[in-house]
Amino acid sequence: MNKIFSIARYTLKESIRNKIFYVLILFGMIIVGSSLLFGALGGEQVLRMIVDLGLSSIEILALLTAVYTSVTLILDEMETKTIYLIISRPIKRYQYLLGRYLGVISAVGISMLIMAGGHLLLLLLKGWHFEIAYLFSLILIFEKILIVSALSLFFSLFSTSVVSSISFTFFFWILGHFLQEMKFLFMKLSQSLPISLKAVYWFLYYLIPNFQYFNLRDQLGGQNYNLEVLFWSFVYGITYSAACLVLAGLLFSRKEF
Amino acid sequence: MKIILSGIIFIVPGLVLGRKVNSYYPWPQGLLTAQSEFSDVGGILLGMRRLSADLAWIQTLQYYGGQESEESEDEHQEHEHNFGGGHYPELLAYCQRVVKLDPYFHYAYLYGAASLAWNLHRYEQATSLLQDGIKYNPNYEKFYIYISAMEFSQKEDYRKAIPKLENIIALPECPLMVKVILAHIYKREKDYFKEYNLWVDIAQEDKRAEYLDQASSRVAELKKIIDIRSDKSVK
Repeated sequence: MNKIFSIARYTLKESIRNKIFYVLILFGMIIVGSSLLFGALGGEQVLRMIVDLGLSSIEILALLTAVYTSVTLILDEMETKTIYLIISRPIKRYQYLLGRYLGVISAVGISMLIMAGGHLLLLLLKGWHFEIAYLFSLILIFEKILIVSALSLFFSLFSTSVVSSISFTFFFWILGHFLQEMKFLFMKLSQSLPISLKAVYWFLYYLIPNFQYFNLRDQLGGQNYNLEVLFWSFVYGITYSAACLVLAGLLFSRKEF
Repeated sequence: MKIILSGIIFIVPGLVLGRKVNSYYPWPQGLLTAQSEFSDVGGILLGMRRLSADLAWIQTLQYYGGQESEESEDEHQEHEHNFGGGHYPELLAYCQRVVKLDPYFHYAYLYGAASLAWNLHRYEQATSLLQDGIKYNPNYEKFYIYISAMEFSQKEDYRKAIPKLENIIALPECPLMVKVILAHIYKREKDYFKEYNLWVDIAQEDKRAEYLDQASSRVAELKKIIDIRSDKSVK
């Protein structure tokens, strides 16, 4: 366990030293600040606009940081051959992978906290009353980041190309958000479809991570959340991320350097 | 074998836990229609339906606040003075686009229905918009109060409509425009005391020019009419 945490700590330091990390946080803070302008266009709905734009910006910038860092993390080390220095030591490959993963998500978590702090400050200055749903939304955004980081790590080991790994991850990101709509369209057509196509659809439906389960940010007005929902969403996110990491571990253990 | 097992690991969380979560979320579905614009599709694909609804709402406000193509500058000024008058034939479509993206955007239903009913006198359209709202928010009681207030207003039975509207403005999340509408109804009914108090409230609640100018001038007129010696003033 100590070995995993040492690698995680090292990855966190490495990410924090990376200039891209600061640029993304700065960019995030600028977008969060510019939500004031966006809010002014919304008439009496200023606070809603600031909440929505702020949370969306936090999510997108956390996504970009997570995907870029996860994909380049091991591929860069393989390219520069620095990975030999690590795997030649008495450390198991899955420990290395898990440590790297934990480091990345800690770095992204810190960047999210900084951006959310700025956003909250702005909201409170504008007279917003704190809602617990805001906190839950942030937690669920982080759950999405957990899944997406694990997925991009898996894709980076699977495809060994930065561009294709990033493309695959974004493809899953979009599909994961579009699943509910696809289900609706499928239900409309399902009677006329052959069983084989239905089977393929349901297989993909449950294979692709359903990011809408974590989209409390999009459900704030509906107030359809409760602790049980949050608990199951949390379990879903953790299990899915774990499954991706297991697959990534399998691929990594078979890799020959 | 390991690959098959890994595949099962992938499916299990989605199948078991996904089903469990799915049963709690009444997700609005069928969001993409022939009227959907590129930004709507982008918002849905990126999981930012609420943000897309916000953008659509800003476009709605720009449409409803802007000059109509067939009206002259003078007519537009007059409509501005009467607050919200005119034709705006596509207002319902604009509002429907917003609430299609975010069916829980209560304010959009309330503002859209109030504008359609009391400013543009299209009560059927206003009711249909609120009925859409009730479909997704059956426990949101303001929609029912609006519908009954509209029914009385349509029959020009303002004595019965006024208490309903007074209920509405006492509730939170009430568009300021509804207060302006009620003030105009008070004016029509010659209830100048209530109208005066309401304009003072409006001016204190919102400092934007569109309401403040109207409130200031009307308060000045009302002071002359009812000769109010009041401490309340429009700041």
